[in-house]
Amino acid sequence: MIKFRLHIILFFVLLFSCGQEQDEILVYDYPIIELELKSQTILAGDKLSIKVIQQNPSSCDLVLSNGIISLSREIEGLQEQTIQFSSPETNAAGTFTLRIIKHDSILVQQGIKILPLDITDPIDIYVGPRTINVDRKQESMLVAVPQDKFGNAVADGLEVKMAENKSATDINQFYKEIEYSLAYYVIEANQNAEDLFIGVSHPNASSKKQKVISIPSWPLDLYLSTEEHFAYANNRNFVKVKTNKLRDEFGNAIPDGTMLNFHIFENEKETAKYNGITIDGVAFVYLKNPYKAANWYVRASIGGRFIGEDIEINFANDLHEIVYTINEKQIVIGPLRGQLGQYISDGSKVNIELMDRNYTVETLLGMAVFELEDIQWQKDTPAHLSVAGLQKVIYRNE
Amino acid sequence: MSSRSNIILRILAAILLVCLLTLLLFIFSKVYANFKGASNVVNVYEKVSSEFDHHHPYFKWLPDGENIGGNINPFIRSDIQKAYLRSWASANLSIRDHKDLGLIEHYSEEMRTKITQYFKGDYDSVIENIDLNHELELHFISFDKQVVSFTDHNVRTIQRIKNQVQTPIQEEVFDYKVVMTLDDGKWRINKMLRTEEADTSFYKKRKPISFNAADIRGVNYYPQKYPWRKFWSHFPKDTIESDFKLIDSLGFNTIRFFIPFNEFGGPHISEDNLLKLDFLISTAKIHDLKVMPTLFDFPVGFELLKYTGYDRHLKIILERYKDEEAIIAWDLKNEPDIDFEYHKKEDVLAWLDFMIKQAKRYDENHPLTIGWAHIENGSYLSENLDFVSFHYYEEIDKLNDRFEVLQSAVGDKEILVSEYGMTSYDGFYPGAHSETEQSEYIVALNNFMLEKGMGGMLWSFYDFDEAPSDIFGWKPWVKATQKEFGIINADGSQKPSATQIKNIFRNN
Repeated sequence: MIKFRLHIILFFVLLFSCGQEQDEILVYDYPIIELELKSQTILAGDKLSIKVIQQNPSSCDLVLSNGIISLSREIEGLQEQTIQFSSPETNAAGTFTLRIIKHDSILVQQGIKILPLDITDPIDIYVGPRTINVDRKQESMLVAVPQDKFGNAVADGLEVKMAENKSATDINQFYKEIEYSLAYYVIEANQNAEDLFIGVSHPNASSKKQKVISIPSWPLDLYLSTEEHFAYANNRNFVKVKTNKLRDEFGNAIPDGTMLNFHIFENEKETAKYNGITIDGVAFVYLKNPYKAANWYVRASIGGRFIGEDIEINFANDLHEIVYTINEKQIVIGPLRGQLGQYISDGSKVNIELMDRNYTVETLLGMAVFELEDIQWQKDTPAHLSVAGLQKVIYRNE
Repeated sequence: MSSRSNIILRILAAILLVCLLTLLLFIFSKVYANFKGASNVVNVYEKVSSEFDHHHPYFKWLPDGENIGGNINPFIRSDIQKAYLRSWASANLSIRDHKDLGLIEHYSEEMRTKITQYFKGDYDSVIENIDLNHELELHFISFDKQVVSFTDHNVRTIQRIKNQVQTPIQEEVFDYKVVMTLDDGKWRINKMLRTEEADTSFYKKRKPISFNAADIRGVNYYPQKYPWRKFWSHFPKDTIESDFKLIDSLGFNTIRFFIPFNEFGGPHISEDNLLKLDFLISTAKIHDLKVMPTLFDFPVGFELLKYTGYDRHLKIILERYKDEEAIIAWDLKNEPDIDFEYHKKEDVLAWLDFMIKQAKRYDENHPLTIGWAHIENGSYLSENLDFVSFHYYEEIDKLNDRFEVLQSAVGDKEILVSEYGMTSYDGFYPGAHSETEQSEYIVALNNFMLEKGMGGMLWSFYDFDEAPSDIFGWKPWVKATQKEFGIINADGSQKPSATQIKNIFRNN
């Protein structure tokens, strides 16, 4: 019984849930339409007049479209009327499709062609890269995308005049045909590191002037030389290492501010690296003399690669001999004099090595003093004394 | 104070509290709506972005022109492709909605002025425009990768204009000459010119393909454990192999299966899914079975904007299997007439008409049909289809008259019943039938089809453990009956209808 009642309830639920809408069948009257156009081709911005002649007149819609751009008009239910499109509606060039539509039907379909006008001001030009080396391997490019006064791409086959000014007296002019809506020219680098100016024109239109900057290429023929070279390892003087005037393969001076690295090699190992920048094509660096005798080889690099030959710089020991005296309380080192009879640099380190102990003092006016009670030096024990690259073994009971 | 006054006061306080809460909720919703509205720009971009997600036109780079100036790498090519396709989508959306939807991102100022003049007018029709095909031939790229020029060949656009009613879909094929420039890091269309109409002679008009419906002894197939949406994600190969063997042994010669649009990959079908499809077809071949794949199963949207994705989906599948002999036909959509209830009928029919045209382009070898849910709708678009198919689950004595109407409407087109059957659910809900009734129904319908020279495809091979709500709705009596249309029980045992089927096929 319960099951039966539920069946009845579900029957009604089903009945209500199964309602269906009836299809509405619409029948329309369609006019017969004939179009008259002066021409199926017009120029951009011109007036497009379409004479619409109807039998059984009825209002319709007219749509002009090229897929991206669409224009539309309502057509009244008159036997004869003229529909007009004018600028700015007709500004876009290209092939359009004209359709007259009534309800669910397209009554007429026809192609209309709008032609672009001649090139007008300004001619858009694109230049890049803006900076190129003068090594003839790099090139820049000038691209002109001319347009008509409505911004349409102009017809292929038109020509634009291009001009490049490689120097004050060298102006190169030539014509380029527009192909696929643009014209282009490959700009080769100058041999001289001078700016290059380019422009594009047409009888009634011009571009703005554009500049391509030519910068010198890698330097060639680098030579190093030294100045102010004091050939003794006194740890006080500076030696100036400088390049010749650096030029690229075409003789252009390398621009100011170009950074060079100076590498110091000792015993075939790089021990130090200094930076220098070019001023008027020359780069230099000051290197402090070592504190002991050394043979340096200095090389220059730019952009991570070594160029030119290295230069050898030698330093001999400045100190000839170590002078000292030992008394009851002290070891007195000095006077320590250099090659010119001068005291060696103040602050030069004097070192005493006793067994596994090291003691260091600095010189002042060529003298250095060790207090014996501080260093606990036993008799018969050798002490290794070193200063400015020289060494000597001394005994307390000497 | 009496207890009665106390109660009244409490009731008044409760009402006041409810009013206060309602007021607060109202104020909060207004503030929230205000903030949402303020982010109008963001909304526009969100809208455009979500609509772009449906834009999947076919795209390919043709060989570059002879001297293209600079060099182009795949990354720049990809950037240009993306920007160019988005520019089309942006223009289509803007024209449809009569407002600037992202044009500034994709067009130069001059181009934008020309596009926007349309929707600044007072014309109130809606122009729906969609681009389906782009084949780009690069002519030029500048050394600094700032300017490109190319021709977009065979740009196939479809257009529909809606006022009170809508026009049929109009198709055009044109070439476009385009210059794009890189401004502020974005590729924009600087110049665009539609040129002469493209050569469309390669779109040959396909002749009708003959189809003998009477030969079809088919069954609709899902694996028992993984029906409907679960099928392609689980795809149990071993089960499919053993099921096809069983199907063959029962005397069936054709399998109808379903390829849902979203679940199978939408516009970007993975190779993995295609390999599954390969497997299914090759397994059918091993057992001398033919297949009738049914495309676009489950609801899809019929907006013109989404056509590009459907077109890509269709192209990928049909072009891959256009020479596959095991396929007897393509069923383009399962029961589209059910969509008449939820969408405009004209939109559904326009969509089907478009898909028929596209399918004929992509595969000239296989017949096409549409599996209508109701016999009364079987004549829709029949002039463009190679044979007619419908589904039938109602009383057999009501079939003959309806069949005669259909037969006279479609002329000499072959007719296939691509789904028929009866549930053997014998439970509490209405619509219940015994296994014997199921068996008798199947025998009777087969006799009818035999008499009329029709073929048929049984629904379904298996009983299923569940009928999902997202397909069959909330009604428990519908779901209960839907689970038991099979001739094989969920436990693998055969129902009486399976034996009857075997006998019918053996004797005919």
